[in-house]
Amino acid sequence: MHIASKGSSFVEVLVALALIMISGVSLAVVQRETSFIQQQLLWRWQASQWLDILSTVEESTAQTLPQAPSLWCSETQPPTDCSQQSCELQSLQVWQRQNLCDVMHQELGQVVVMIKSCGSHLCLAMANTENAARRCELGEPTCLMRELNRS
Amino acid sequence: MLARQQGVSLVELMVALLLASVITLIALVLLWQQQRAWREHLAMQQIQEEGHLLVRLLRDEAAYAGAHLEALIPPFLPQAETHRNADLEHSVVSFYSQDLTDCLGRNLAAPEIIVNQYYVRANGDGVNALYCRSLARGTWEETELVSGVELFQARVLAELPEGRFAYLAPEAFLAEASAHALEVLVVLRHPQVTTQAQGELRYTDLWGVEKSLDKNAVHGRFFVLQELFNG
Repeated sequence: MHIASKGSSFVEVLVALALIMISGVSLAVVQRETSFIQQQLLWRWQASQWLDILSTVEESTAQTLPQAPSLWCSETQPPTDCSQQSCELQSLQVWQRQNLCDVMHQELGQVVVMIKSCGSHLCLAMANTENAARRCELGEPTCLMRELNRS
Repeated sequence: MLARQQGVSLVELMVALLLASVITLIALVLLWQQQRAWREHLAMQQIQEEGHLLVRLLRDEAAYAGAHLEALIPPFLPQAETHRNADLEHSVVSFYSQDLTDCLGRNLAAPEIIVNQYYVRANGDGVNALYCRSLARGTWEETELVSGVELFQARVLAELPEGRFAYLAPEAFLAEASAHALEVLVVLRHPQVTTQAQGELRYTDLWGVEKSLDKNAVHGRFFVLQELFNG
């Protein structure tokens, strides 16, 4: 009886190589996705800490309720630097708010914080863009919202 | 009938070994990258957890400081005698309260005035760490809270006698001023794990001074803002 020992054909080798390549690419994609999700989780975790701080300030300092959604951080820098000199209460509050925004932006990158109504309450919404913050609802994965307790 | 067994030629063997080596090498590189990413992730998670606990601890401490004390003693002043090894590049914050437990978790039989002092000094491994020591039952005892402290900086929002507001360092606090809020900035760096990122990360401290941190450090910045009890 003759036993013919046959090697792999060229097509078989190609298929094997293709399978190995596909496995490698899949592994790299999974690795990248995992890293992205980890980054997102970290961002949400840090953003949540910042919303705690901002809502504390908002609850303790804000005197009037805004009628429409408004941005928490202003584009313009306050004229007085209250970390270097003494200030009146009103300019201190303006400066403190802007200072918090600066520190937050250093930590989280470009984020937008908005005060808006959520049901019968006021909320702080945080997202990457102004539109996303405006559209943000409680429990959405792409943004964060915190209800403000006001007396 | 004799079955003829055909072996592999040397060239085939070499090609097979080469392919196997390349595939093994790629697999090892991927595994190494995955392990490194996982180590960085764990380090980052550890920094975040430690920072978050620290933030909660300092917030609770500041919120409760001054409770049940007579008005003569402000929540964190006068500055208690500073630990002799404290690194004065960082802030030293001492909280006063009347309580049953100190920052070391020592339980007292009856409420007494407790001083919890937070400061940075090098630990046994030569790494800067945040310590808390407490003066209770007439003796100081200390405990290490977190190591790898790059910055521990505090400032107090104070109302000056003339009715204006200013930020003061805890050590420069004026006895006649009234403390309203405490802000603390803590920058933690993982003592062991580094990343492959190059360059410097710039940030400003509480006084607007620009500082830098190696990008290859696994680090976290934490900000505490707490209104003071008897501000």
